Amino acid sequence: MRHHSGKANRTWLIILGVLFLAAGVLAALIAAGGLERFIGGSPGRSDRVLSETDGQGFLAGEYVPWGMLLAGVILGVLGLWWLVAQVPRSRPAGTFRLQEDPAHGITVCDPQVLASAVSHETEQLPGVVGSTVRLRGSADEPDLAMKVTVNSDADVQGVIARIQQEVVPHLVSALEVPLNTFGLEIDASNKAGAPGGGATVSSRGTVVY
Amino acid sequence: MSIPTAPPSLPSGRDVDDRGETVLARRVLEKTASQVARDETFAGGSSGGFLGIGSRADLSARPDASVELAGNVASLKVTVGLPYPMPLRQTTEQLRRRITERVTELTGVQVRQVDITVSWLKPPQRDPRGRRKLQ
Repeated sequence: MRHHSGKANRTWLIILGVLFLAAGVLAALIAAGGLERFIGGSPGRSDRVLSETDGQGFLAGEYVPWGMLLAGVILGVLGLWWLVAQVPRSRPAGTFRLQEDPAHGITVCDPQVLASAVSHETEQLPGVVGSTVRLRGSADEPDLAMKVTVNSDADVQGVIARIQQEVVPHLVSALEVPLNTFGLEIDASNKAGAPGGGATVSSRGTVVY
Repeated sequence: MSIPTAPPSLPSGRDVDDRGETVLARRVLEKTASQVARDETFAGGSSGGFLGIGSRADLSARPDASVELAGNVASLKVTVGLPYPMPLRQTTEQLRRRITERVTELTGVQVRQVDITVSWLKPPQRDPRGRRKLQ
């Protein structure tokens, strides 16, 4: 459930493509001599030709270094922003709007509140050491991602079954809509489970087969 | 010693508006809404702590409510906690309807809008002794 900067990349590629296309067309016009004809006709018929002093005057202006510096800073900032945008990040989840009736009022709930309840319920399962729950999307199309850590004695299939048959249906009944996506990752740990939540029973005796 | 036989009557010709006015403090509306939410719905609030620090979720506490008054019309904002799992849309709609009806009934102020924020959800607690029944 990582968010990549596809939109920013496409936008900048379009901008760069247009700029390079324009530069290519300009270079082709200059090489073919078409630009001079387009601007002021042939040099022989032109009223005024750009002299050497004009060019020096243009480049020697006091504003040129500052303009170049400003352009460099802007390009640097934009480049840095583009670079930062490449870092994959989690898709931001806004507040869930459960009801929105302008006449009577709205109902909102932070997804973190629901995620905490789901996490708390998951950690009550036998053999579960800890859990991380991410709830994203919207109230009408929620996405649930869970990472559940179990201890070495846990019945992993049992934990998965109880998550699917109890924990997830409880969330669905709370939101009153089916989950858009559901991801579950099981991790193992040497830690002991929650007190009272373990499934291990130590005993002595003779085992008869 | 004489006993007055008739209540003192107002001077004739005096308008009802001149007799005085009754002012309902906003805080009264807020407390009424909180009390209705606690007593007549599943909603709870927070208790304990100091200046909001260290408070804990408590289903038996009154939810927080704030009121904006415009004449005789009120808009409420209520922050509640609810048991989990519970259908949130249905529960909060029931809460909204109940607050609207009862606050209007009790105070005479017309409640136009109730915005609800669900701030926590409380899953059922395990056996506090930490024991589990063998099956």
